[in-house]
Amino acid sequence: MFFKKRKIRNNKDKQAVTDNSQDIGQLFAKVKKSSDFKQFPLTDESGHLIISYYNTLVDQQQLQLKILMIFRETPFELDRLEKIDDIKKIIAIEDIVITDNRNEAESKLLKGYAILQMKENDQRVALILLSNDKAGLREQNNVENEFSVVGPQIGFLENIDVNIHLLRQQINTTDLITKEVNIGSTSNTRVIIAHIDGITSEQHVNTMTQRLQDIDFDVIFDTSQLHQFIEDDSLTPFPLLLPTERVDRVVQALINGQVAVLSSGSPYVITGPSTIIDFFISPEDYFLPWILGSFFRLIRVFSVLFSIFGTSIYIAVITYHYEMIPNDLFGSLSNSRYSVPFPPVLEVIFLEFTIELLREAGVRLPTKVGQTLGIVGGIVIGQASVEASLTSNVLLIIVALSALASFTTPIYKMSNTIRFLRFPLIFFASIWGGLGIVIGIAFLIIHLTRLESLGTPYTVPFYPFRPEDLTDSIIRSSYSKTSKRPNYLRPKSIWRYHPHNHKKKKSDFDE
Amino acid sequence: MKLCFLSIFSLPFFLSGCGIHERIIDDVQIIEALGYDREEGKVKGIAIYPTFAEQGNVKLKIYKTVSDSYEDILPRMNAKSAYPIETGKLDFVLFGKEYATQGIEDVITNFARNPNTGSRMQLGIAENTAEDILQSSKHVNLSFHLSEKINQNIESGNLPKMNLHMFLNNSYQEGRDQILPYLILEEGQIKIDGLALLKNGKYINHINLRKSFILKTLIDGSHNGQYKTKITQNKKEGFILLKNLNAKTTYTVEKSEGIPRIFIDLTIHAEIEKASSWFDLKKDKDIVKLKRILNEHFKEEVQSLISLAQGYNVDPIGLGEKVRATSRNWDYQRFMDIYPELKTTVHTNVYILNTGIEE
Repeated sequence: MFFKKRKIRNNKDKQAVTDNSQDIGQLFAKVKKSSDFKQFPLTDESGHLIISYYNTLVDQQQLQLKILMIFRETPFELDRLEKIDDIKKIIAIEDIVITDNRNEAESKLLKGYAILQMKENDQRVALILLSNDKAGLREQNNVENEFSVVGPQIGFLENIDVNIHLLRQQINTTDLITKEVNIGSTSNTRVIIAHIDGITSEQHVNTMTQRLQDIDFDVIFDTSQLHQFIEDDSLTPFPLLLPTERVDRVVQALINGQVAVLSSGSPYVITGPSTIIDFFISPEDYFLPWILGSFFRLIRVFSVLFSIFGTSIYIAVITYHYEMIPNDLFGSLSNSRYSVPFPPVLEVIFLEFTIELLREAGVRLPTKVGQTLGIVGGIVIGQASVEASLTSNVLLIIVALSALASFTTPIYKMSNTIRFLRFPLIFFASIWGGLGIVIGIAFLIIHLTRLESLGTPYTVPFYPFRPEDLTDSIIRSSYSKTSKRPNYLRPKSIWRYHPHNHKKKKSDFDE
Repeated sequence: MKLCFLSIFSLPFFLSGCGIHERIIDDVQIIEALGYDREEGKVKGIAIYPTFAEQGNVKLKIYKTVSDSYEDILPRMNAKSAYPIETGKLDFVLFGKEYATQGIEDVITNFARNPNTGSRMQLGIAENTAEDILQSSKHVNLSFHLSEKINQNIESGNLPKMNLHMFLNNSYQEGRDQILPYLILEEGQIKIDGLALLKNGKYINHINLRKSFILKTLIDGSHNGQYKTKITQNKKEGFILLKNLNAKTTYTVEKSEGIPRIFIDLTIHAEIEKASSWFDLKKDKDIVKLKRILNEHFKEEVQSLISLAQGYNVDPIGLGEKVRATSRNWDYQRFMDIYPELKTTVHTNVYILNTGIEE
C-alpha cells in the first residue's frame, strides 16, 4: 500500500547481561525457591558429589539408571573420580558438558540438564543431559487441517527433533543444513532454519536468519508468531510466507529452493519465499495425474474468485444493474427479493455475519456439539431467515456457496484472508455498484503486485511475467515438464531431475 | 503519500455525488413491452409490466395513457405507478400502423440514445393498433413472450435477423431500407404475418411470410425456415413443403452505361419435408424435374419480390449497399432516382439433399 514498510527494530540486547562474577552458588540460591528443584549428594559423604536438577525437567528413569545406580548400588570407588572432567568416563551419557560458566549452567539447567559438582561451591561443574523432551507432547502426528485423500498423512509435531527427523527421512542427504537460533527472552525457544546446501540461494537463508535473529520477543508460542515478525509487509491481509503442517509440502519447498523455519512447540513449519499461487497448491495435485491435478487446481482458483466476488456482484446487480439479469432469471430473482424489507447490502451483511458467526463458534465449540450446531445454524437458521423474509433464498445459496468455496484453499491462513476480502468489496459494491467492484479489484491487484515475500515478488509467475515458471502454477504440468526449479527462487542448481535421460519405455515388442 | 492516497480514494466518492441513484430490483417497475398508437391526433401509449408477487407466477398488467406527443408518455405512466418506471428491461416496442405511417424515427433515435435500453430490443408494426395486440397478450402469463416470439421466428422461422441495433444500422447506412415484423391478430392470438417495409422510418407496405422467407435468404442467407410451394405435374396439383437447410446468396454488380446491373446467385440446399402423396420422391427423374420446377419458381419469386420493392421504391434487400460497395463515386440521391429501373438477373441453384422421413 502507500504506507512505509515497518522495519523490525534491531535490538541486540536480547539477554540481560549478567555479571560473570556471580557464581554457581548464587544460581542455586535463586533456583532453590522453586519447589521442583532438587539438590542432594550422591554419596554418603556430605558436601561431596552434589547433583542438582529440576525434578520436572529430567527423565527420572535415566537419572536412576545412569547416575544413581553407579554411585549408590555397588560400593563406589571415589578415587576413580579425581577431577570433575573424569565424570565422562564413568557416566554413560553422551552429552556431558564441563564448564565453569554460570550462564551456560543456568540455561542448560533449564533445558533439563543436571548439574554435578565435586564439592559444594565448586565452580567447575559437569552438566549432564537427562532431559525428558517428549513428556507432555502429542505422539500422534496425523495431518489434521491440511488433509488429503491420496498421499502420506504425516504431519509435524510439537517436538522439533521429531520434525527434523521427519525431514531427514525424506531429504536423505548431508546437504540438508539446519541452523539453530534461540528466540524469546523468556521462552528461549529453539528455532531451526532448514535449507538445502547447493540449491537454496544464500540470499534467502541470510535474510531469513537475519530477520529471525533480530526478533525481540518474550515467549514464542508458534511459528505463526514468527511469521508475523518476519513478514516483509505487516499491513496486508495476505500471508507472505506459507505455514504448513504437512511434511511433503515442506520437503517440496526445500527441494525447490525455499527456506523452512521450524520452531520448538509448534506443529506448523513456515516456508518461504512463497508466491500467491503456492497457497492454492495442494500436495494432492502431485499425487493425481497431471490432467486431474490441473483441473482441481483450476477449480480451486475459480472457487476462490467466486468466494471473493460472489456476494458483491449480487449486491451490485440487484441494487444498480438490473439490466444485466437475464430475462429468464429476472422473475425468480425479483420474486425472491419481493418480500425482503432491507436493501440488498443489509441483507448480505446480515447473512455473511451469520455465516462468520457460525464459523467462529464452530471452531470453539466442543466437537460433539459443533456438528449439531452446524446443522442447526446452516439449515435451520438459513431456512427460517428466508421464511421470515429477512433474506432472499437466492442470496442464501450465494452466501453458503461462497463460504464453502473459501474452504477449498489448502492453507487455512489464505482462507481467512479470503473471508476478510469479501467485506471491503461488499462495501464498494454497495456504494458504487459494478464500478465499485472494479475499483476494489484495482486496489486488490495494485496491493498484490506490490507485495514481496523475503524480497521476492509475491505474484511472480504472472507479474513480473516468468513464462518458464508457469509450468507449475495455475496448471500442474506433467512431471517431464516440471524438472526445473522455479527461476524466481534463484536456486543454485536449476535441474531437479533429468527426465529426458530416461530410456524409452519398453513394450512387449522390444523384449 | 497518505494524503495522496486519501485524495485519490475520495475522488470517485465525491465525483459520484456520494453514491449513485439506487435501482433495487424490487423497488423499480420494469416494463417489458411498449406500444404507441395515434388516436384522434393524440398519441396513446400502452405498456405491459410484469409483477412477480407470487412464487413462479407472473402476472402481466397494463398501463395506458394519452398525450399530445410521444415524449411524455413514460412520465405520465410514472404518475400511475407505485415504483419508478424503468426501461432497462424493455425489449419490445410496437407501433400501430397509423403511427408508423407518420414515422417512428423520433422514438427509435431516442431509445438509441438511452443507455439503459438494450440494443437487442425488438420492434414491430401492428396491423391495426398496438393496443389490440398488447391487450390480447396480457393473458399470457409469461414475461417477455412477445420478443421471444420474434426471436424464435428469426432463429427457426422465416424472419431475417433484426433488432434495434440492425434497425439503426439500416437507417444510418445509405443503400438499405428498414424492415420490421408485421403483427396481426388471428382469432385473438398474436401472429407474425410477414414483414413491414419502411422507408426513412415511415411504413410503406408489408409482405407476407412466404415473401419474407425469400427476403431472408436474400439478406443474410439462412439455415432454417419452411417454405410451401405449389407443384403442377401432368395436370395434377400438389404441394411441397420445403425445409430449408442452407441458403446463400452472392451478388455481382456490373456497372455499365449509368444504370448498374446486379447478378443475384441464389443457392438453396433444401430438404423436402412434406409432399403430396401422389408425388413419387423415390424416382431420380422426378427429383430432377422437381429441381427444375423449384429453380423456376424461386427465380420468379425473387424477381417478383424485387420488382415489388422497386414498385414501392424501397430497398429492403440492400441492393444500394451492394452498388455502393463497388462504386467509387457514390451518390445516394442519384441511386434513389435510378432504383426503380435497376436491372437484376437472378440465377438459382436448388439442391435437394433429402427426401426421406422428416426429422
